[in-house]
Amino acid sequence: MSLAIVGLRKFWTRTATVVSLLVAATVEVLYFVLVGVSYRSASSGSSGIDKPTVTWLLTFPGAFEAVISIVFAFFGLIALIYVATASGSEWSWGTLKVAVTRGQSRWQYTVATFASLAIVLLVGVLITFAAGIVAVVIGASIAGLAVGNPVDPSALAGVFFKLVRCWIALVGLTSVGYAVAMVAKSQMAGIGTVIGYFVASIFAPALLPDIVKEIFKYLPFSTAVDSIGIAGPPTTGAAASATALDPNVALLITIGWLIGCLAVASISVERADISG
Amino acid sequence: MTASATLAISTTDLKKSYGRQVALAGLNLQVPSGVVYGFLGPNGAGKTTTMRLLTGLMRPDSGSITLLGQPFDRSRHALLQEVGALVEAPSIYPHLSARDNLIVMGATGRHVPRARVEELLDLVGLRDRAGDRVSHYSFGMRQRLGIAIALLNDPKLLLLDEPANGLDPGGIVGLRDTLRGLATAGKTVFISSHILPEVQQLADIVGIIAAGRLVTQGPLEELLASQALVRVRVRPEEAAAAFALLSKLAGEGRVEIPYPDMAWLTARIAADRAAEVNRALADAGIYASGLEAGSDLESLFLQLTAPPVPPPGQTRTGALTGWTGGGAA
Repeated sequence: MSLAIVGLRKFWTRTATVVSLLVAATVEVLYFVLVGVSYRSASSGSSGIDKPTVTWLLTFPGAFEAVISIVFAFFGLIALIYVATASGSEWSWGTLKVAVTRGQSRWQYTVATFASLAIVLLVGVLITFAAGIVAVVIGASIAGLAVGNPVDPSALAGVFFKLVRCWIALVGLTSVGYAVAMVAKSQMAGIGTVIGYFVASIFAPALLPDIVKEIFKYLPFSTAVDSIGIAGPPTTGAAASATALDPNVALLITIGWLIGCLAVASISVERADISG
Repeated sequence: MTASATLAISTTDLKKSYGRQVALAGLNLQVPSGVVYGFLGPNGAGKTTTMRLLTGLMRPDSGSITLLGQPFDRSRHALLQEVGALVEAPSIYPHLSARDNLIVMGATGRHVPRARVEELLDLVGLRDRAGDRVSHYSFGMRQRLGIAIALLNDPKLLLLDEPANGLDPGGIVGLRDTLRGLATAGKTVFISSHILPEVQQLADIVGIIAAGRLVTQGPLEELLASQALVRVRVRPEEAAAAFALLSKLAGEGRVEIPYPDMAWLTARIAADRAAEVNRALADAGIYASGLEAGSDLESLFLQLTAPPVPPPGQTRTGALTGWTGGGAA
């Protein structure tokens, strides 16, 4: 555990860490501001806006779920790239080599490095969540909606558990990129794979036959999404839940993917010839 | 106490290939404890591969390694915690400071107290820049940091690959003093290097590797004495007579004509007998157009690692300049 804590030092000070968080938070704020502007325009005469959805996005307690799902979507993609980059640099900078020559167990180093990254992701989730809450207030204000009570104790308990689920989902999802980068000994392989997989996971279900969709349901991206247990806005929630896995089942499968990916990464590093 | 217990490093018939490329073809190293050992060889001879095997970065195809009297395979992690290593270029986090690099690296393997980090910053002369990002460091400063990382755990055995790379003269002198001090304190220093004069000043024992095999190994003074050479250049038509004369002086089998076209003769004979050689040749009416005597490490290295002389009529390309191509890493 101490290795993971000390390992935080090497990630916190990376420019990429700060930039990733700033980009995720900025995109998130822009999203809610644009929703507020759209709603205001619609109210003043234009049409074509889904008012129940906007209300869910910009008023509490619905906004909590909205923010968490936006955190997962925006921060998730950035986190995938970030983790693949950070893990691949252990090879390109040769720092894994130093750990091995100092008598550090390879699999322990592999797991501890990912644990450090998981802690960075937790902080990232909290920061982008906080930014999202602020953005909702701004968006609601622009839209002219009453934002509701963001500190309602009955809602906050559920929010806490969904945030934890969001974090676990992100950790599970990013472990795929981590494993690819460690097996391929390459940042680019990790980044390319996770971006390709992320995009494919969004578009493939609409294009693929049902039998393949059934398989996709159990793959890391789908299980990570379902594991958070976001019901969605009133108009689409029922339709979305019809094809989704039960959140608890999805969470278990996500944890399974996480363990599997870490095992693959560890075994690969254990067996690798290290040069460079 | 067994023989291997007094050896810091012992390898037996160590073999490693990269695909079809043989890097090590049965390496038998014997490095006594408490010495500075210079590990020399041309590019591609297998030096870096040896370093990677000794530090657990790679596994041999066959053969065995014993470090500090213990079989490496059975207690790899514990043994490496007694070893410090700088293999190839220094491996560091460029966005961290020197101090943070030492702290982060010190968290791996055996625990390193914070005081040791400060001590090493002083030792390698990075104290004034310890808080700067390493990405702003010069190559030589990175090298100093790499050496500090190798020394983190106060190792019993230090393995350094080209440690003087990029160091300024002051840095080289400091490195030499540090390494000699470590050997005096009973630690073993194993240096792979191309800077032969540096190794000659520093090493007690030298091993020379070529084409994946150890071609010689022993105390530097003895090797230099045994390999002392006098090289003579005569006119080609006088080569046979000079060969016979030098054979009388040096003994049968101790004279070669490595470059027949150029009529250079090499006699294994003490350098201080060069004048005697010159006089004998002159007395026989053979006037040398060139005469070199010496027992420096460079001559020894070139002699032992030169490729075989091709059959008469064929040209040895690149042999004189040393650019004879590489093999393994």
